[in-house]
Order: sequence, then structure tokens, then C-alpha cells
Amino acid sequence: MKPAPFKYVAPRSLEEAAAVLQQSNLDGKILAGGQSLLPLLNLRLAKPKVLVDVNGISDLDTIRETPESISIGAITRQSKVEHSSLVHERCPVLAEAIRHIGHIAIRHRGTIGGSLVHADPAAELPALALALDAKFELTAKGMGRIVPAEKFFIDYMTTALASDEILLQIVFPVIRPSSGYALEKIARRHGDFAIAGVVAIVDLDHAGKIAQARIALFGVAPTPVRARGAERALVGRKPDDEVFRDAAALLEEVLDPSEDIRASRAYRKHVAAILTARALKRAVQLCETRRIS
Amino acid sequence: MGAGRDDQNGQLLSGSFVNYLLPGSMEVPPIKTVHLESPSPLNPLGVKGLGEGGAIAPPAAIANALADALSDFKLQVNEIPLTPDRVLALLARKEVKVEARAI
Repeated sequence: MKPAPFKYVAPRSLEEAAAVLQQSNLDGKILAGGQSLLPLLNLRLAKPKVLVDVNGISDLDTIRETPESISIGAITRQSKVEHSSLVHERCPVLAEAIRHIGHIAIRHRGTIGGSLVHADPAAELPALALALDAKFELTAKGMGRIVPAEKFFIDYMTTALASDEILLQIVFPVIRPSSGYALEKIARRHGDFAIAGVVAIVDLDHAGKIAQARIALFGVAPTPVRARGAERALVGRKPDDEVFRDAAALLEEVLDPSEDIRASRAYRKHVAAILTARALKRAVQLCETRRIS
Repeated sequence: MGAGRDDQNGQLLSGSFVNYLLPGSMEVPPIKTVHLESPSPLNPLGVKGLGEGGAIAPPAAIANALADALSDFKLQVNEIPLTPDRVLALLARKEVKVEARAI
């Protein structure tokens, strides 16, 4: 299949890109890695009039650290982040999440910003951004704003990004050297989008009790979701299988999965609970190892 | 993994490989080939036409493999494809507590 006709523009600067988007009368689409957009164009599910190729804007290809966070430019390739020593040192859960995206070839081309803006509810990065309370820096002609992850994912494949806005960078708060984390996902085939998945980040206090837990699920609702009820229930508990299962039993309030050819609604809910208990267990185990080392 | 499916109105739901899953290199288990020769007596070379011989037995073999793997529960596996949903439903029918062993 071939896409509907479109005009192709490859601006060399952010200002130029913003101006082109503005001029395209809300009918422009940004092309980054093209791993989601091109199939949508070829299937004619998307028919933008103008394609704004931002791959030539090197300002968007950055990995920078601050004391509390790592900022990643929107067109930074997923594989670059996956193998960044800075990311491994300060936010290893980000590298772990990226490893689960598609295949190596997809991650070489796919960008961090592209995956987040596409906002497939079954994708890993949106859930991770939500779990970490990441911030999205957006710009349009003449103005900029910062949107927290919680307000960025609005609905099925819909974000707060307006059609004349460009995602500049994503600010991922780093995790503590002693934090434990895990991502669990179930898919019918290697590299497929998840039927259901979860990312968990856990901190233990000196007594070995859970000091903080962050749980975000994907593939189980129109957007990625935080399991705040389960997070709260874990704080102050001495972690064991029973505690993990109790927390997973509190997911019901946030689960609203769709039913499709890959899995039923009931199946998605069933595995979401099991995966959550499993992710919590692995995160706590890692926490214990990281505390010792 | 894939199956021809349609909805209540007869609308085909598995019209492309997006919805008709084909196993990839990561999903296909190692396959042992056993060559069985039975030359045809009907021509000088003993050759036969090739048809769907290889496609008939595997689904039944896979269903039986699942029944064997879960033989403790005495499951009757009569339907393919064996989607995760179906396997879970088969276990539920036998009142197997899946959660209990899951973590």
C-alpha cells in the first residue's frame, strides 16, 4: 500500500519547523523515526498534507543530565538511549524499558519522542514516563510549555501535544542507586506490542520495608495508567509474595482494557495482576541486590 | 497463532498479517525432521505430488502436547488455535487456581 500524496519539508532549525507547522493549517505531521507514522500513512489511517521531517535538527538529538534528571531530545534514537552509559548509571529503568520495544532494527530508527507522541497505550515508554513523572517540553511558534506525563496522555493515541507544537525533549527524573525496578510484559510474539505490561520501581527503607512504589501499566486502558491505590497499599509493608498479590488485587479500579483479536478483556485483566505481582517481586529483589553492592 | 476470523456480520477480522499472526523465528520451536520414505509404486521414479500432508498433523500434535503438559488436570483440548484465552478458559473449567502458582 502507498500513502496519500503529501508535501515533504525538511527544515534545518526548530524555528523553521515551527513556522512550517504553523503554515500547514493544522494539517502537518512531524516525521521522526517513522516507525509508527509510516505504516499509518501506508495504510492511509493518517493523511497529513505536509510531512515535516525533523531528523536534520541536531538540537533535538541530545542526552543531558542535571542533578535530578536526564533530559533526552525528542529525536534521539531509542538504541542510543538504550546503550547510553549515563542512562545505565542514573536511570537504568529507562534502558530496561527500551529493550522491550520492537526489535533492534526498530530501535535503531525509532526515536524516544516518536514513541511517546504516538502514545500507543500498549507501548513501554509512555508507561515509563508516567511511572517516573517525566516532563514533556513542548514548543510552538513563539511559545513553549512544560506538560507533566500525567497530563500528557489524554486518550487512545491522543496526547496534549497540539498540532502546531513540537516535542523538544523529555525530562526523566533519575532513580536512586538503591532503587529496584522491573518491566514485565506479555505479547504473543517477540517484539509485538504488549497484550498487557507493567513497569514497577521500588525503594526499600533501612528496615527492609517498602518506602515508595511506582507502578504504571500499559495495554490495559486507552492510555498508560498509574496504579496509585496499589502503590499506597505497599508503603510501609515488609515485601513478600502475599503483599505483592494484595497490591495487584487493587488494580481493578484502573484497568479498562479493550478486547481484540489478540486477547479478551478478561484475559488482559488477569495477566495484568499477575505481571504486576511479578514485577514488584523482581523490583524488590533488585533493590536488595543493589543495596548490598 | 493466526486464524481466519470474522465477526457476527461476517466481516473478516484477519485480513492482513497485522491481525493474522504468523510465528517468527523467536516463536517456532526447534523442529526435528524425520524422513520417512515410501516410494510410489505407480511410476518409475517412485515420486509423489506434494500437498498439504505437512499441514494436517501439527495442530492435533500441538493440542495433544498441551493436554500432555497439563495432564495433571485431565484437560480435553479440542479447539485450535490455542490462544492464551482458550488455555486459561480450559484451566478455569477444571477450577485450577492459576493465580496461586503465578509469581
